[in-house]
This record gives sequence, C-alpha cells and structure tokens, in this order.
Amino acid sequence: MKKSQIQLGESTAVVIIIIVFIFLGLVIYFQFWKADQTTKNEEQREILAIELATKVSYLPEPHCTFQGTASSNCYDKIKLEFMNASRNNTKWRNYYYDYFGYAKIEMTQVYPYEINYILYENQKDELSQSGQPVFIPSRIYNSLTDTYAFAYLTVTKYT
Amino acid sequence: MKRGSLSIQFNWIFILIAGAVLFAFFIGITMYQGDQAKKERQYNSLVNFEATLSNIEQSVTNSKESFRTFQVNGAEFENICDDIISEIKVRDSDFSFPSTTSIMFSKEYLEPGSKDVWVSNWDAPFRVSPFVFMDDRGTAFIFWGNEEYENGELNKLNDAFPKGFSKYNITGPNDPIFNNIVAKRYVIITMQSTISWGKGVDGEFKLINIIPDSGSRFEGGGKIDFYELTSESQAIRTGSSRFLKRESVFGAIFAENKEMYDCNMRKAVSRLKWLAEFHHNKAKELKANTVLTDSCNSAHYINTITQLSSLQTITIANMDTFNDKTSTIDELNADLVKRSCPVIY
Amino acid sequence: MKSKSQIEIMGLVVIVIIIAIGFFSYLAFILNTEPVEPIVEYSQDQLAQTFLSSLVKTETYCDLSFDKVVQDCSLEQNLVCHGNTSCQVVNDTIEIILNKTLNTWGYAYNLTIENLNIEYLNKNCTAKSDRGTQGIELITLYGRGDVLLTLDMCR
Repeated sequence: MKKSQIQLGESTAVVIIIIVFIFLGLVIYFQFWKADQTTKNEEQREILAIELATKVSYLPEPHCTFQGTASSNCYDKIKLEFMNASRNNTKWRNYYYDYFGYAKIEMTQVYPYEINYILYENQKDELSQSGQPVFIPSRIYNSLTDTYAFAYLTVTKYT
Repeated sequence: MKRGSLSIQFNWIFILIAGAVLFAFFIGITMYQGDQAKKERQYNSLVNFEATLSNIEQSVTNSKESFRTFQVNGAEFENICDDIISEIKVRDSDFSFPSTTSIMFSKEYLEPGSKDVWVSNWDAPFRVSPFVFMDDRGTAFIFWGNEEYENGELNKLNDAFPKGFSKYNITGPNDPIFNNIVAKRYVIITMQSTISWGKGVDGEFKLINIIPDSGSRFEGGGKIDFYELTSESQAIRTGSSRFLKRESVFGAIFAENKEMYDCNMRKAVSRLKWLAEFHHNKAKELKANTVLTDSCNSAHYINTITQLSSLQTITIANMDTFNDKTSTIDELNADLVKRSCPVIY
Repeated sequence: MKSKSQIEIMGLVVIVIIIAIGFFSYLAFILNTEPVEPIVEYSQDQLAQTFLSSLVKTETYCDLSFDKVVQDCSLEQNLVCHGNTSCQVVNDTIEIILNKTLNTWGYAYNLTIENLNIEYLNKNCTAKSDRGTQGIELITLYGRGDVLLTLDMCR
C-alpha cells in the first residue's frame, strides 16, 4: 500500500472511531435523560396532588362551618355522606372536574370506628397513572351528636 | 485564465457559500434560542400568576377579606370571560390556564407592573366564593356624592374600600379636588337617581352608578349602570346589570365593563345555586334526624328548606330580588345557633 | 516517540480519554444529585400539626373527647370507662390511630405527651434525627398547668 493510502485509512479510522464513541455516549446519555424525565414526571404528579389537596382544603362544601366561617381540617359528616352518594352522578363529576380534574378524593374515618367516603372520583381511562397519594389528617364533625371523629383525607392525582 | 487562478476563485466562492451557510445556521440557532427564552419567560410568568391567584383565593379561607399588592412580570395577561371560555391567557401566545372556578373582576388586559388585589368572600348568605378585585396600582377611585342621602351610603361604600387604594371624594366634576387628581385610570363611583356629568375628560374614565332597590342599601340588592365619559362632556350609558350583596357592587367597580361583570356574576350565581342545593340536602337530612326537644325539632328546619329551595331559581337578571331571602336564611340559621340545634352552615 | 504514527495514535488516545473522563464526570454529577420528593417534604412540614389538632378533639370510646380524657389522666384519674382508667384510654386511642395512619403510611415519627410520660416512636426517630416542622398542642389543666403534646416527623 502507498503511504498516502495508509495515511487516508488512518484518518478515516480515527473519524469512524470518534463517531462511534460519540454515538455510544449519546445513547447512554439518552437513557439517563429518560430516567430523569420519569422522575420529573413523578415529581410533577406529586406537586399536582399537593395543589389539589390544598384546593380541597379551602372548598366550603365538605367543611364544617360555624356561622359561615369554615373550620380548617374539619369536615361535616352529613355533607360527606351527600358527596359520597352523589359521586357517580354525571352532573356532579362534570361540575367538579373544573376544580379537581382527573383525581380521587376520599375521606377515611379511623376512630372511633371505620368508615370511608369517596368525595370525588374521575379517572380518564384504565391506563391512567396515579401518583403517590397525599394524606392529610382531619376530623369529621357530627352535627347531630356534636362530636368529632379522627379521619384522614387521601388525595390521588391521575395523569 | 490559468487553471490555478480559476481554482483559487472557486475556492473563495466555496468558502463564501460555506461561511454564509454556517453564519445562517448560527443566526438561526440564536433566534430560535431567543424565541424559546421568550416562551419560557411567558410560561414562568403564567405559572407564577396562577400560583399567586390561588394563594390570594385561599388567603380568605378563615377570614372575610384581605388586601395585597403584587408584581406582574414578564408578560401581559388577558382576563377572558365569556359564554364559551373563561381563562387567563398570556397575550399573543398560546399559554393560558382555565379560570372557570375563579371569579376575578379586573381590566381585560393586565400589563406588567404593580397590581392592587383585594379579595372578599361573597356570602349569600353562606360562603359561596372569594371574589378577587384587581386593578393597577395608582388607579384613582373617585366617590362622587353630595350632602343628601346618597352621601351617607356613599361614605359607607368608601369606608368599605381598603386604605391601600387611592380614594377621593368629590362633590361634582367641577370640584377642585377632581382637577388635581393625576392617575393612569379613573373610576368614578356614585349613587344618584340621574347622571348629569357635563365635563369633558381625557384619559381612561369609567363611571358606575349604584341604585339600590327601594328600602335596600348597597349591601343588599339593586341595579348598576355602567357609563363611559367622553371628551364632549357626555356620560354615555353602556349597560345595566343587577347586584346582590356588596361584593357584587365592588365587582362592578373593578370589572372592565358590563360584559365582564355579567360573566363573572354568572359563574358566581351558578356556584350559589349549586351550594343552595347542597345546603338544602343537609337541611332535609337534619330535619329527618334531629332528636326532638322543646327547643330543637324538625319544625325549625321547614322554613329554611323552603327558602333554600327557592334560592335555586336565582339568575343574574333577578338576583337583586333575593336579598330578603338570603337575609331570612341567615336569620333562621342564627336562630338554630341560639337553640343549640345543628346548623345548616 | 520515534515515528509520526505513534504520536498520532497517542493523540487519539488522549482525545478518547478526555471525552471519557468528561462524560463520566457528568454522569457522576447527575447521579449524586438528591431527588426532591415534594410529598415527603409536604408531609413533614404540615402533617404533624394537622395530626395533633385532629387528635385532641376526637371522641373516645368513653363518650368524652381526647383532651378531656387527658385532663383526667393528668389530674384526679377518676374516670373509669369499660374497665379502663383514663390513662389506659389515652394509650388505647393513640395506638389505634397511629396504627391506622402513620404506621401504615410508613412515616418515622416521635409522639410525646410530656406530663404523662407517654412516648411513641417509629423507625428510630430520635432527638438526633433530622426532623421536619414540629406539631404542638397544649391541653389546659385549668390553672394547674398545661399538658404538652408534640409530634416530630423525621426525614
């Protein structure tokens, strides 16, 4: 082989090797970027769940109110029962979709006895992903007996 | 031409073309980055605005009202409220967030700068929704009244406005105080049976005339007339609407025009009807389950149930007529408190 | 270096090494950054206070609210309820609620009622651990001091 041909072959080989390395590097980088995006999506779902939990906290519907003033982290038993009974109503779901989007909001009473109320449930389709739920300890007020029960609100956001 | 010199010329042409392509490529990248940076700034501004609005609405969860000033940066916003859509949008972009559940009275276009924001809960009679009132810092709110009856009510309306706003009292358009007011925007508020302005104005002027129903006050129900003032000394009536409770009066003062006021009040009334149904169901449940005693029995809920049922027929066209009904519901609820009965709200 | 080709190969090797070092440094930086967990942060800042404020008003199986039972446990200890003293009722109530909430959710916490020497720990949450915002509730003893309830959520 002539010297110039060897030189040319050498230059070509160098270029090819560099391209291969860059390509490999890009592939590995892309894999890590994809994993990072998945984490970010999960983080975003959690942030949305927290925002949603905050929204539920200031809606007057389920809350105990005393002379018009809502009590924070206190929910009215009769209102919860009504919301639980209405949750499958299309008009109900459509109305609260503007507030909550695709989500599940439930109140679980744990003491002195257990009972569960689903205030809102709207899942886009069976493939929806749900993030980590947000738990907020609360109390349920029974206006007929003037007593409180220990409960917690669970807010799950679907995307 | 010798072959060598021709080759050199072709080299230069090639270099020029390659250089131009590279230059165009880099300029394109720079412009694209600039465009992306602008979009990112607009998006961040929108996210901040949405978060601020949400915080403002939540600030009155356990109180009646609050006032603050905040800065709108990075973009101009559009408060869109009509029959089809309700959203806050960055002007000249596709970025927006829905404001279907927010009731915000403001100018249609919100330029960057300081904004005064006042939020007050609309209780009719139970908690319905926070009303957000927003305007540019430096807007002059001018209360036009005389020494008769209107002035007493007008003073109460003036007192109800937080001190953070620029407020003025004038007896008429020729009042020296009026001539000395310098502001970006002027909102004139009055409570007169007829309007006779008679002074040419230059600038952004708006006039609101509040006419409570007979026997009512601005905290009750009545009519609101919207006017535009012209340089030809005319006050042209642009529309009329009804009001229920003082927060809707404030809404008319801050809304850009009658259309924005009506659209927001439609949202508010729709929410009121929804909550009336909610409390109606609670009242029926309490009536059915309340343990009978002398001071507290199911009979004490019957009237409330009837009132709540009729409250569900409210619209923006007739809402002023429901002032008495809301007062009655409030009294009935207060009566339940006195009797130590379970309350409706 | 005797020949030009050897020098060139050295140059190529140096470039490859530089690229590899740069890339792995970047990877190391990315992998070492701790991810933010919004719900965990939210829970540690807000949950303790909301838990305690809900607990103190809860109706116990004695038909008395939790704070009333704590008052009795701190003072006269007159209450007997289904064969249990007020202090036993306090412990029963807390245990049931903790088992159905914080324990099930897997949170590390430290709940104490100082005057009654009651302490509940989960997952080694001690004073030396990294903690979120503390929740505090005071139950008055009507002129004879207060009972202090605290709840710390550990990171």
